[in-house]
Amino acid sequence: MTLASIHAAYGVAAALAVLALMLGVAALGIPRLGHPPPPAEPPPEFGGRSGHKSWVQFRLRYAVLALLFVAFDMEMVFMFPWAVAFRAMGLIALADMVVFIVILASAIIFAWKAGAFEWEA
Amino acid sequence: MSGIIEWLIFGMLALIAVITAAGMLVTMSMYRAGLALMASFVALAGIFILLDADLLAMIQIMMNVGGMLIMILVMVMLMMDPGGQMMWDMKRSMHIRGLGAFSMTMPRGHHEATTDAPMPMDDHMHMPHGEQEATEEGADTPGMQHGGMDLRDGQQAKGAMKMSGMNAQQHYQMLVSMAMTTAQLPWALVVGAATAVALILLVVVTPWHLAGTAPSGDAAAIVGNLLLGRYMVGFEGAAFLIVAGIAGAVLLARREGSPPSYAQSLQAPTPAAQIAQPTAAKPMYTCPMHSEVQQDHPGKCPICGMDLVPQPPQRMGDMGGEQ
Amino acid sequence: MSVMTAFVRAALTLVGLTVGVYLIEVLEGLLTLGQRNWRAVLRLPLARAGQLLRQPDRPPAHADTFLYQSAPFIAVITVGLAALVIPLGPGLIGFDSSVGLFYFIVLLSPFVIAQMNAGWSQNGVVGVLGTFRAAAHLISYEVPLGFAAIGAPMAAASLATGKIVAAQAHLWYVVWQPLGVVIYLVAALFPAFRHPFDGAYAGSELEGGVLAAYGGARLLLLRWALDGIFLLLMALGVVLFFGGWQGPLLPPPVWFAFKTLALAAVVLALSRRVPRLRHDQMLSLAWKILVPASLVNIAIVGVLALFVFGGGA
Repeated sequence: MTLASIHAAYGVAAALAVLALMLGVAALGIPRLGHPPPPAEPPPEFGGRSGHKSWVQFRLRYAVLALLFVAFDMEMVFMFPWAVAFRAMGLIALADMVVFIVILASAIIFAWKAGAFEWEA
Repeated sequence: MSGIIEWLIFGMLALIAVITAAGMLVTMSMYRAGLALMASFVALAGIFILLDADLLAMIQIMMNVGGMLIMILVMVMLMMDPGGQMMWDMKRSMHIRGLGAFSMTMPRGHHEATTDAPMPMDDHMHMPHGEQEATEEGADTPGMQHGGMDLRDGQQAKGAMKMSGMNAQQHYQMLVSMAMTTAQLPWALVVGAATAVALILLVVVTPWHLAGTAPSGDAAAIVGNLLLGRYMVGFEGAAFLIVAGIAGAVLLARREGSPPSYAQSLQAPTPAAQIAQPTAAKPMYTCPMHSEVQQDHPGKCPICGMDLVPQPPQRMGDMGGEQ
Repeated sequence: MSVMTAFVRAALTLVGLTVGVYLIEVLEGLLTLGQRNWRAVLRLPLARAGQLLRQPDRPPAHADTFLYQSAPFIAVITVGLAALVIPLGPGLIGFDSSVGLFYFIVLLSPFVIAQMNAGWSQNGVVGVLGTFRAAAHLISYEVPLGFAAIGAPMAAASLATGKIVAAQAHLWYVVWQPLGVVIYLVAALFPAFRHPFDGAYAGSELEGGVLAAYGGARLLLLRWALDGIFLLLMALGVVLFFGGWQGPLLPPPVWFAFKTLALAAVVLALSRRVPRLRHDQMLSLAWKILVPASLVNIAIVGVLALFVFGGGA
């Protein structure tokens, strides 16, 4: 590939974003075409309790898993380039990955033993 | 022609990155702050694509969307007011303007809402003591809503007058003391601006080495080969770093949080739990849907087949965070 | 590539996606209402769309208006962008990125973020609860889905979706990566918020969850994006494991469409037989079963790819 072609290829992505935005805005405009819409009341909350606070401090029970997720997210970043080079490197790649996976599996086992996967009641 | 388009796109992405980064700093809503940072990093990823580094751009998006999501979740867990609504209500009723009041547009419908249901808090904030009782009556009695609103208007007018009586210094001091802004804000602005200028100077002054060859089409294969070859130690070292991160996260969360689980806290009862449940020596298991199902060993609910959970000890103030 | 062709390709992608979304709705309808009512099933998605398009909508009283209004657009744009790397036939692709598969998986997370924004911005109890559940979805799906999908690029030695399909000319990967297929299909239901894992909407318990306060064209956009992402995940499954566009006699796009719809029908029909899972059960499923299983799968695929199918296959 030449220098220009990689980011030029993403031009399609830019075009799609623009197009989708325009179509969405057009769809929003349809009810205003025929007759002016009635002054809609904002939707009430269920139970008619509109007006109380719901953006509050909240204890999320899966907080530890969320941190675990970030670590594994990072691991995926290594995995994809590795997968592409795997065929060419052969046994070395396999041995490398086995070591990598064993280390991570031990991390999963540790977290499991420590109770990170238990639902905090 | 394509050169101009590239510059235009670069300018747009850079503008988005800077504006959203600034928005992250000034918004009242922690949720928005996380999103703004996310948007800033995604705009940077766009610039990476413009530099033909699409693999890097994808990694950037993946890591930062995931990371900022976790940041938002942590904010929701730590902050009293993750949506910034309380702060906004307070400021509105006090007629505070200026930088501290700049927030990435709060809702339109919101203004009506504050007049409908005044928060008791913002009335108490800036009121002489003699009038407090009267306002409380007005705000709390639903039947007297009209009177309440009149009173509030009077209060607000008085508050606005008080504001105008202050000079800028006093005004800023008041914002600081109410934790609506930080005392370090001017210094932070100066340091930030100086850093920006220094970085821009560095970019301009540095003699950049331009590579003669075009970037390869398949970045992933090259990165993979390097990871398995020259940087193998780093690659395996990264695994250890990840393990250390996981271990740290798990241990930290265990220590910080409430007792690991009800089952464990019941097996080793803390003094508080003993007081609350003097008779419960063994954990009882119950169905989350059918509380009448109770037994002393885990199993399945005979009615709905769900897993039984250890019965939570009755602790004071466990419901809601207000008490 | 000129600006004109870029826009034409983008427009064709969106049209194709919309047709696919309609077909997914029809599939769901056939499974729900039965084949005897096929006339009604064919009309129903159109009628629903028309009704939503005529409806005005307004953010709730306390909403975070900007997030409320932008969330459907973020969802639709990410779905459209993800569709660009799905190859319908040789050369029939939005753009052939060398990191296509990774690009697709990366774009799933902004989609879930859009769902979270939709819920949070309403400033209502059901919406905010839906947001936290949607966050649990993001934490669940990404690792197993990515690890299960990695089997295909390991065998094909490329992340480009077109090359992955071309590498399956002799043998589909489903034959020797069945574990990967199962993990992929289960994990694919998380970000798509499909039935057993639809806790963020949960018709009967959260009253719509993140969609609760939406109406009108914005609700239509969000629904479009939800069906679209499910369709795309099934299409990616066909690309990764079922040989993509390849098949005898018929032209490639027809084969691709047929395989995608067949896979979607099988997954929809099977997922109906399972009761809805709570999001804690979903997290347990993902981290206790799917992630370890996907690590095992990578090891198996690695050995097989080197020693058994090392040649051309």
